[in-house]
Amino acid sequence: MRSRKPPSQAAPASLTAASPSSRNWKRLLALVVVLVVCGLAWVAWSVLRPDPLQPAREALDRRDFQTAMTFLSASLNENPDDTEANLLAAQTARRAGDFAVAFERLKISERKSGRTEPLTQEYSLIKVQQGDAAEADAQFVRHIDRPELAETPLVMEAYLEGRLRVLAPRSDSEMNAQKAEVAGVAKLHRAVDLWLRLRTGKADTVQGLVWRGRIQVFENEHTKGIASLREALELDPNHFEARWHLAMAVAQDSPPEAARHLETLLAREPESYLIRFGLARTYRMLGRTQDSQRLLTELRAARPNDPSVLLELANLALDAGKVEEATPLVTRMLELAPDALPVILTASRYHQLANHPDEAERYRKRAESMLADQQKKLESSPTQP
Amino acid sequence: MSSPSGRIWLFALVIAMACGAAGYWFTRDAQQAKQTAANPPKGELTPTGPAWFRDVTESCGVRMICRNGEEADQFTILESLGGGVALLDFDGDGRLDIFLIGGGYFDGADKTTLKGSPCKLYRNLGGMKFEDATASFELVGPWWYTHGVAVADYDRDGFPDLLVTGYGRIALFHNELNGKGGRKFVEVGEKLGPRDDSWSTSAGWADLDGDGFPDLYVCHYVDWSFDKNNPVCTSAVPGNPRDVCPPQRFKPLVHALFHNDEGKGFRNISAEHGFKAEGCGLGVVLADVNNDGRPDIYVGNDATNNFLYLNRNKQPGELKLEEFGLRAGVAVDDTSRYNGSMGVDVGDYDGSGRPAIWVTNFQGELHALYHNLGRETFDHRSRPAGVAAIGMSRVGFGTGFVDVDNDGWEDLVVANGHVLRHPAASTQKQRPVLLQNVESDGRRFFRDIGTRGGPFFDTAAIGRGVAIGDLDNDGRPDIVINHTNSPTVVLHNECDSGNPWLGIKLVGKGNRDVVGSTVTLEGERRRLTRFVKGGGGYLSASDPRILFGLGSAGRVKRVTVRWSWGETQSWEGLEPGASWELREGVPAAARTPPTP
Repeated sequence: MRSRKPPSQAAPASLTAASPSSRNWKRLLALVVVLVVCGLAWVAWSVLRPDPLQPAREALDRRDFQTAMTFLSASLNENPDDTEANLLAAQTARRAGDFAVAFERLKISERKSGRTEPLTQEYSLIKVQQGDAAEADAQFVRHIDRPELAETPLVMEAYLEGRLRVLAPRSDSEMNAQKAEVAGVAKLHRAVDLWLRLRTGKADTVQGLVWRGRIQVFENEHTKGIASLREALELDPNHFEARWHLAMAVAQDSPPEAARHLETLLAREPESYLIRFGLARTYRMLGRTQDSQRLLTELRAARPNDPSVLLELANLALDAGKVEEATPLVTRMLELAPDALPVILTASRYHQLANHPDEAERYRKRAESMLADQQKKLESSPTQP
Repeated sequence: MSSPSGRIWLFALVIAMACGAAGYWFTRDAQQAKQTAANPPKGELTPTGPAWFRDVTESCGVRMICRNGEEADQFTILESLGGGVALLDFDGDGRLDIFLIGGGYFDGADKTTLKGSPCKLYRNLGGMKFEDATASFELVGPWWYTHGVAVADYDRDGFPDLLVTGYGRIALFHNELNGKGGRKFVEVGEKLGPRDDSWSTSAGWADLDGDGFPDLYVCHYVDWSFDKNNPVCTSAVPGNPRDVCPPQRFKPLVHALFHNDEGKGFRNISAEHGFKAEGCGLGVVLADVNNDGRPDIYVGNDATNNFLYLNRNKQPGELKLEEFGLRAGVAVDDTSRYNGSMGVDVGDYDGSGRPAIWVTNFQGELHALYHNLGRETFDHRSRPAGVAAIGMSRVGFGTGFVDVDNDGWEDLVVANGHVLRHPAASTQKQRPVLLQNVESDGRRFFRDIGTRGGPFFDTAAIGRGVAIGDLDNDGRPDIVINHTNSPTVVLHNECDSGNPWLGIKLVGKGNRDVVGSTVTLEGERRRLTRFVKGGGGYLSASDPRILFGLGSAGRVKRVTVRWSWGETQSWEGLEPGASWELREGVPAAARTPPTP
């Protein structure tokens, strides 16, 4: 009796003692589960992990190219072979106008992965933005009716920057309506319209308005141009370019307003030669001779041999009838820039006031001859590139 | 430093640094404050207070529109010039009357026949009321396309005569008795000349050769004509296929100088004096600019160098002119470029006793203030004088020195308006400018005080001729402005500065012409100098009398006249608040009866 167990207490063989095949199934199942979990985790990480280029992209949305380059450089330090980062860095450098860095980045990418299509496009956009008219027109034609392409806004941007660089290198550049067709102003307007349609973020809108304003000023639509620039500045009162171009656009109509804008810019960039010099000249225009003198004296301390600064200082002295004070300035600027028309003109004025009529006449005649040469060149030159 | 003496030194150092910093900030602020005080008033400064001018056009009875015919859409350069104004006392009642240029239009099937719009003469009834006296004074036309007017007593009969310029002819109207106890104007050009079939604009009179009779300078513009030279020009502004052509598309014409043969005839002597076709003449003023007692001629030319003809006569009876513009520094601007010059005037803006030359210019150029340095030398001082602060978007035409507030410093008025229908970076209608002559940092400075001028100075129009004069003899200069295609405006000066004034009317011996004379008023504290001018402004003629605002000059000690071609004569005891007639060779001044 003792040797016999009741059958009800005996576990079935399959349960109480797993067979080898059953164990394998379990292991396999576990492995699959683990793999699936890992896979899901990997997918989740891939999707949710922080994009190392994201901060750069956010900076680019704000058109803060400097900050974007800082993030991109950090990213490339960690992963120098990151093709995407290299391309974005090249693009960012180009958009900021730093063509040397853009080239450098593209070369690195090219060495690693050959001349891919995006790289070719970026090389082309560098040319466009540098002012290559043929390249610009080709890109324009390829993209102006293709708003769905991701690259189209950047093409429009490079096109606008490049064409304006050539057509309106100075803020006071103006064209003649007869030359409008040659200058392709209609295309500039189409490009900026498309840009504003595709890029609706605040920074890009402001930039679009600045371009529009510059184009309008260039095509002699000053009232519209000034309105566009004012609209840009209302959206972003800290926009340097908008304020600079507005200052230049209103300078003829309202020098006091131009001075106000330049003063605002100077407060932001107190060391800027361009702003300080522009403001000094505007102050002279307003008859604010002491303010002008102060700025020019500071500039002269930093750049003692700058003929432009010496010229303005000499004219200020002559404005006040201080011929003796002007003497060393005129002498020095004639040494530094003996063939510059403004220098010759000021020399003539100086000698006139110094009661040297013959010398004044000599310089005046020279200036007249230079002006005549300039006029001849202007008349014989083609209207626009 | 942890020792007590070290702590004391540290404390002392901190105190010294704090004192130094405080001192720096204090002196810096003081320096800045000083600089601010020394600098000219900033452009934004807008003086407030009652308006100095009231537009009385409606109430005074002057109804006039100078036409240019632009509705024919010919886009000719002829349309760009507009018309002038003359202030003259034609009936000798002591009140300034107003003559207004009518302009013209294009007639005929193809709208290429030039016709004149009627000019008008308004008699001053007193109390700032005027009546249209054109018909009663027989100035009924037929008119041609007219532009300018100049006034002088060419035959020395004691009454001012009128010269009217325009396209294709000029006309001299003699002021004479009408046989009914009144006066009338009779055209005498056929009989006496001057004959001129060119395109004449501004004109001015002065006795250039010292024979007592005023000679006549007539500016000529360019060689435009429908028949021979009528180019088509496109607009610089997109969307406007056509606009008026610039003067550079044409050739300048030789200006005319007519010698007055003792009131019995006129001879064009421009060839004898070597005049060349080198200036598109628009403005002329005759005055003694080099202080030699003889009238000189300054001409504002459009898109060509301005002229300065210095009168080099050694004795009366001869005429020798020397063109001295470039050498004197008044032909071009401060970048050695010619300007598009329109209105011209001379005045002593800085109390130096020397006449500066003032020129209104085209868009993109500064109006020119040529400071007189003496020794026949001028310097372009528009920037330091604050004139440049008004910007360069306007096209200046009629202008003149005018002491609006009687402070003894000559202010400036400018009527503006573009010549193009679709100007780039500007507008066709433009606001006028009123520049107040203020002291700043020991120098004279012009400040835009349009806000103080009244609503007129905030209204855009196509301004052209301007004439300045005391219409109601209240000692305050009023202004009349002729516009293109909109009503002439009469501005009554209502400036309540309370500054005293003194009016002077000069009468030469035997009514000889006195342009080129210089009048100096010596007050207790200041010396004021004014110049007797022929022409001046743009297409216009202002009050020939001289009005001294006395400001802080104090008691009038003496008034001295240096008669052109004559002696120097002084008068004492002239009371302010009245007008005085000073006759050459007569020691006593005559008080002019008040005629408001």
